[in-house]
Amino acid sequence: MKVTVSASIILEDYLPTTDTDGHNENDERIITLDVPADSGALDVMKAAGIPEDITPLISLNGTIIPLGRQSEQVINEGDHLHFMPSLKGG
Amino acid sequence: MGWQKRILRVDLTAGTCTPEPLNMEWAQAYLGERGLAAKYLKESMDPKADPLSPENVLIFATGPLTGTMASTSGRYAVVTKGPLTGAIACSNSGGKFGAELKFAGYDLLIIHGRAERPVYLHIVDDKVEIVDAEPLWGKSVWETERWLRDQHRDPQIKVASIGVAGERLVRYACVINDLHRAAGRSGVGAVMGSKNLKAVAARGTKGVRVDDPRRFMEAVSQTKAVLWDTGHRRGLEKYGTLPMIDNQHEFGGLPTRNSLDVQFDGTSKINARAMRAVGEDGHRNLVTNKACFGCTIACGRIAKINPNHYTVVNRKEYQIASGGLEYETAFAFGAELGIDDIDALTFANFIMNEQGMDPISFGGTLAAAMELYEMGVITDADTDGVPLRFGNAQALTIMAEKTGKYEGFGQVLAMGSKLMAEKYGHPEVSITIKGQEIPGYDGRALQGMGLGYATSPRGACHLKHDLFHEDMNSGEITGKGKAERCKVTQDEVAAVDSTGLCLFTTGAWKMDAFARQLDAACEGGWTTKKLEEVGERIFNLERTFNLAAGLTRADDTLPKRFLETPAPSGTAKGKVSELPMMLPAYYKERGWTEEGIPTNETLDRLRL
Repeated sequence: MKVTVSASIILEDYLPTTDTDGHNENDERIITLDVPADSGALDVMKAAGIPEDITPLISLNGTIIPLGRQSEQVINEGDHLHFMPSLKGG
Repeated sequence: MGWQKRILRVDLTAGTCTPEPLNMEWAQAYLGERGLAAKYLKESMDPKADPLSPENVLIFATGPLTGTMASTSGRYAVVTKGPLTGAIACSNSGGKFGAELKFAGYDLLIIHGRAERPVYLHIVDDKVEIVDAEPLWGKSVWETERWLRDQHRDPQIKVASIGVAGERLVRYACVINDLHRAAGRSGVGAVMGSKNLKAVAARGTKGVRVDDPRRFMEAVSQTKAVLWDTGHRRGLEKYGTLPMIDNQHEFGGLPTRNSLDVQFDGTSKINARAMRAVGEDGHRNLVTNKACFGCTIACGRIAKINPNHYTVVNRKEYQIASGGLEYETAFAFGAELGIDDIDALTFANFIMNEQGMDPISFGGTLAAAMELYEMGVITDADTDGVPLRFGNAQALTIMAEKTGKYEGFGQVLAMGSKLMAEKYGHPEVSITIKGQEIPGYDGRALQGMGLGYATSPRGACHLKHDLFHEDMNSGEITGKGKAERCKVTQDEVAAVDSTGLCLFTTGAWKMDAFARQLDAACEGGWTTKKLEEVGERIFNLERTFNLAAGLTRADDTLPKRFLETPAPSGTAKGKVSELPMMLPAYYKERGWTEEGIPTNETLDRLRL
C-alpha cells in the first residue's frame, strides 16, 4: 500500500530520495512509500530511514500517535505520517 | 580542586572588595553555581527584603566544572531575589564570561549594598576595582562592552552588563554577557541596576586545576564522545532549538495569542526551515551557528535581518550579524503575539540583547497588552498611537524599542504582565506563575510541564524540571504519574545547574556522566547518589528561601486559563490542567506538608 511521509527538518535528511519526491506548502519534503499491507507506524518509520534512537513523535493524518501505541498503530492506504524528533529545552 | 576555593565579596555601599576562602563544607553540600549561590544568598540576606533595595544580594556564581575541559563548561548563574517574582531567582547563562571570572580566581562574586553613583567592577585576577561608570550610564549593552574593551585596551576582557532596561528597573531586565548571552529570567538585571552596577568586566589568567588530571581527561573524552554521537546534539548544532516550534504546533502545546490558542498557523514562516531559507533577493536569516566556551554542541544562532526590511532600512547599526532566534524567542514574539514576520522577530531579539531584556517575559507582557487592546480595555490613547493587535509586527518592534529605552507605553510594559494586568483591572490576561510569564509550552497539553511551572522556585520556567518526554510521548494527556517524575527531574536539574555545565547535555548524558567528571575534578567522592542528594537539598533550600520570603501554597498555581478553559485544539483539545490532582501527590513525594512546607523529617534528612 502507498503512504506519504514527511519529517521535521531535523529528520528530513534521513528520508530516502524517491521518484515521487515533492514539497508541501511549507516547503517540507513529501515522499511516497510503498509498504506491505500489514505495516504499522513503526514499520513505516523504518522504511523511511528514521533512526530509532531519536524516539520520534509520529503524527498520523495530523493526530499524534501516543508512544505506547506506535507499535500497534494500524496504517491504511493513503495515510500521511509526519515524524518529529523528541526534543527538550528551548 | 575544580573550585578555586575563593570568593570575592563586594560591598558597593562601603566601596570595598574583599576576597575570602570558599566555605568548603557548603561546597560539598551544595556543589557550586545555582546550589552554592542559593546557600550564600540565604545566609547573606533577609529573604523578606525588597528585591530592588540595597539589602538584596546579587551573586555571580560559577560551578566546579566551569572553565574546565568538560564539554559546555562555560556556564555561570546569577542568583538573587527576583523583582518579577519576589522569589529566589537563578538565571543561568553561557558565553565566555563565566569561565573568565573563574580564571580570575573566584568561584563566586557576591555583591552587597548600592553604590552612590553608577559604577562598574573591573577584575583582573587579584586586582579588583570599583570604577566610576558615569560615561556608561544610559548606554546599551553593546556600547558598554565595546567601551570597556577600548578603555582598558584589552580585547580579551569579558563583560556582563545591563542596558538601559536594567538601569530603569524594567522588572524582567537581564544581565547580558558576550553581547548576546543572557542570564535572562526573573529580572536579575533590574537588581543589578538597583545597585547602580552597570557592568562586571573580568580578565583571568589562572586557569582551573582538577584533582586527577588523567582521570578527568578520560572522563571528559568518554562523555564528549557520547554527546557527539547523538541525534540530539547534531540537531541542536545544525538547527538550534527552533525545530521545537513545529513540534509544539503539531502537538497543540504552542502558547498562541496570549494562550487563547495552542496552535499557530504562521509557524512555517518563523521556524528553522524559514531561518535557513534563501529568499528571492538572496538573503538568508541564518548566518552561522556559535558555541559558548568549551561547548561541543554549538546550538547558538547568529542571524542577519534582511537589509530591505522596514526595521533596519537606514539603520546600519542593526544591519549586522548578531544573536538570532531560539525557540523561546520565536514562540514569545511569534506565536504568542500572532506574528509571522521572521525579520521583525529577529529585530526585536536584537533589541532584547542590546538593552538587556528577557524576551519570554517581554513577549508575554506584550501579548497580555494585545489582549487588553483587542478587548477594548486599552486604546491607541494608551499605547502611543500604536494599534496593539495580535499579528501586528510593528507593534512588536516599536514596543521592544520603547520598553528597552523606558519610553511611553514601554514604561507600562516594563511592569511585567501581572502588575500591568492588575493596573487595568483584568488580572486574568496575565499568563504568569509567581508573577513570571510562561515559556513556550501550554500547561494543558503538557501536564507535567504545568506542575513544573507551578512548583518551580522562580515561577513559570521550563528549565527547572525535565518532563518533555513524559508529557509528549507517554500516550495520553494526563497528570497521572507526573508528581514523582517532576520531583526526581527537578532534583537532577538542580544538581546539573550547580556543576558549571549546560542542561542541554542531558539529551545525551545521565547523572553518572556528571558524577564521573566531578569526581575526577573535585575532592569529596562524587557519585550519582551524592549528586541526587545534593540536587534535592538545593531544591528544598530554595523552597525554604521562598517560604521565608512570604510565598505560600497559594503561589504554587497556574493561570486560570490553564485551570478552567479547555484547550481549544490539538492533542489536548477539551482538557484543562490537572494541577489540583497533581499538587498534593507532588507535596507527598517531596516530603512536604499539605501546605507545601518541608517537614522537619525532610529537613533533617537533607541536613538543612
